[in-house]
Amino acid sequence: MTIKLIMKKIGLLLAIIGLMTNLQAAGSAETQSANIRSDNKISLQSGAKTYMNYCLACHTLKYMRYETLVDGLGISEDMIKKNLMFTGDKITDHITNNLPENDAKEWFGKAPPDLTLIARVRGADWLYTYMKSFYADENRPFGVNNTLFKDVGMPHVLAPLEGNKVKSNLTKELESKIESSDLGIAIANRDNDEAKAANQRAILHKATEDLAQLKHDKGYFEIATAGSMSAQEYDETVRDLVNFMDYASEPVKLERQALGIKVILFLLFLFAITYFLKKEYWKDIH
Amino acid sequence: MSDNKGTFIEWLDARFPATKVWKEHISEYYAPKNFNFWYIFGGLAIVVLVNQILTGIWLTMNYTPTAEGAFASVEFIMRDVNWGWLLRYMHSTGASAFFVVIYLHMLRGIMYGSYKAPRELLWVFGMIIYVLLMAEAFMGYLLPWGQMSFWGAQVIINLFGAIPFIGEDLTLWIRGDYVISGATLTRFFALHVVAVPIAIILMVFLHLVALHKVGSNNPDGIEIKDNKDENGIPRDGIPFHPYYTVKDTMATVGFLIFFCAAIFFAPEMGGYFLEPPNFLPADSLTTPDHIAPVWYFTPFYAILRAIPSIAGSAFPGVAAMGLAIVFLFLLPWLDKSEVRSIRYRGWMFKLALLLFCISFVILGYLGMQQPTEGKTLVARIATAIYFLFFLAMPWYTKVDKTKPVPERVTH
Repeated sequence: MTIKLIMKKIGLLLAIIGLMTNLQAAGSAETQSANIRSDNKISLQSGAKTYMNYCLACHTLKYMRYETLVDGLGISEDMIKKNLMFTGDKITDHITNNLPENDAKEWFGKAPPDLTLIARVRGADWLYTYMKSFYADENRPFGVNNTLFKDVGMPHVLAPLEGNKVKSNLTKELESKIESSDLGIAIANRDNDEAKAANQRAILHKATEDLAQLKHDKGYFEIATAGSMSAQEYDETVRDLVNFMDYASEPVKLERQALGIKVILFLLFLFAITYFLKKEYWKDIH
Repeated sequence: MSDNKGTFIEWLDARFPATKVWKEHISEYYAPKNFNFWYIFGGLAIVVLVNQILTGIWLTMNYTPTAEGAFASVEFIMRDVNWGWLLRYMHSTGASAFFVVIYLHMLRGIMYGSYKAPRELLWVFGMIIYVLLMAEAFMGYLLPWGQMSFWGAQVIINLFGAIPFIGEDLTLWIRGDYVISGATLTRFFALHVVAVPIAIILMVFLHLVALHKVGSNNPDGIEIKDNKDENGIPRDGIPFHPYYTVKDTMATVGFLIFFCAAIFFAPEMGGYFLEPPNFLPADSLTTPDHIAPVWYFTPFYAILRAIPSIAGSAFPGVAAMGLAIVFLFLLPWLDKSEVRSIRYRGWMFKLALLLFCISFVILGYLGMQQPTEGKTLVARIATAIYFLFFLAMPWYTKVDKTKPVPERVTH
């Protein structure tokens, strides 16, 4: 078998793997790209700080130890003890909190889940979008709802930073248009009024497109009361937080990838040797 | 001193057939010289089997087989055990890799008619290994005790409930409880790490014994034993060692490049090898939005869903899923062709096999998707093609025009 043929087959296999990964990546129109940089230690430190200050009171990282952060965040044990350790006594302790589960159930309707692995469940983009999708909704117990996670049980804990958002008037207008045209289509279908149904479908289509555009242009929400951060600062804070959560979900990721490059290079080298060895042995076989 | 080595081998050979076995099965086992790319997957299956056994042994050293401790112990392995993450990814990626090489190995057998006489038993042993492998993979997937472990097992075990009369009792017997619970986990652990691996190793041994009795088939589908030289050695045969040992070494390294690329850069393979909901601990009160088996089961899962229920019973679907595997066992007796290899068969077999492969891949894709009306229709067509491949085989392999088979192997 010639090298050319082998390369062709390898190419085919790679194409199949690529196709499989693409299939999975498709269909995430709802979320914005988090653009995290896993190797940015400053970002991870900032994210850890946000997590410990705003999230840990309810959401544990119980499969991870504080000790892990020494390597992961590139800071000393002392700095962790001083700045990040509000619970636990020892650096080897798991990152937990003192929230009584029964009380939590009563307060939130459901005990807040552990978030060690949430980035592997939802993905970084989802988490990033989620933290930016809270808006004021007086019908909810905590006065907020979330466009990505409808009727979420969690309050908007980063509101002091982001401020309070409401849906803009244009958003409300378009959403009510979508709702009424939905109803209009149903009524038209019931009455077998094809012309009216087509008209309503056109309205629905236009409004849906406009709404998507509005989301894209960031005119979907407007700030009702300002927080301590600008929109850009808040985005950065959330990006860092998500980066940290992504790190927490698999602390070994960077090490894994770095080792992987060495392993693959070694195997390529070894493949060349075994290829020529095989060729040498087989030269008399016709 | 200089005689020591010889003496030792003599001493050994007087008590154990070391040299005899080495010669018969390695250095003087004559394999056809025209093996192509498709012939590397049998050897690779052994490589993956060894990988699964070794990494599996080390994983059990830190895994806790209880409903309370399983999920946390897997994260303990991923974070606190030295190289635990590597062992775990080698094992989880190895499970998928096993099915990749086995499916390609089986396709090779079908392409070159390797199941035809006198290799029927060899094929049946291989099929038994495949079924054992499915059981092994299914039970292993419960062990991380994540949401997909739990709900995937729930769905599959409930399938047995569709069997008339004994179904309900059977599911109870498998689970050891009325729902999936710690009792199910412990028995699956025992079966996954002890019982099924022993059965697989035994069957692999028998598979090899049967192979060496009848000799390897080859891409031309002709018997090299029919043409021997004056020393009784097949003219188209070459000793397994060193020719195929060096070739399989090369193939193994080539395989490891892809295997390690997956382990180090895509251990989740975009959700195909490790499904995202499985990073949530099992929760009997929360059903995931979409429950799908791992990719290697989805062709059969799609067949199950494609068959409509009769009188509210899903049994026809379950039966069809079982038959989809039973028919594979019967291939040696369904194929009536004069020739073995696809190289000398006519257009009918080639077309049938092509359609079969396409329908298998389509079913695999559909098995991962939420069913819609359109998708169910496609699944039904693909299921029909899948079964027609077998049901019509005695006919189309008989009437198909074959080409003359050469005396000696070609490349």
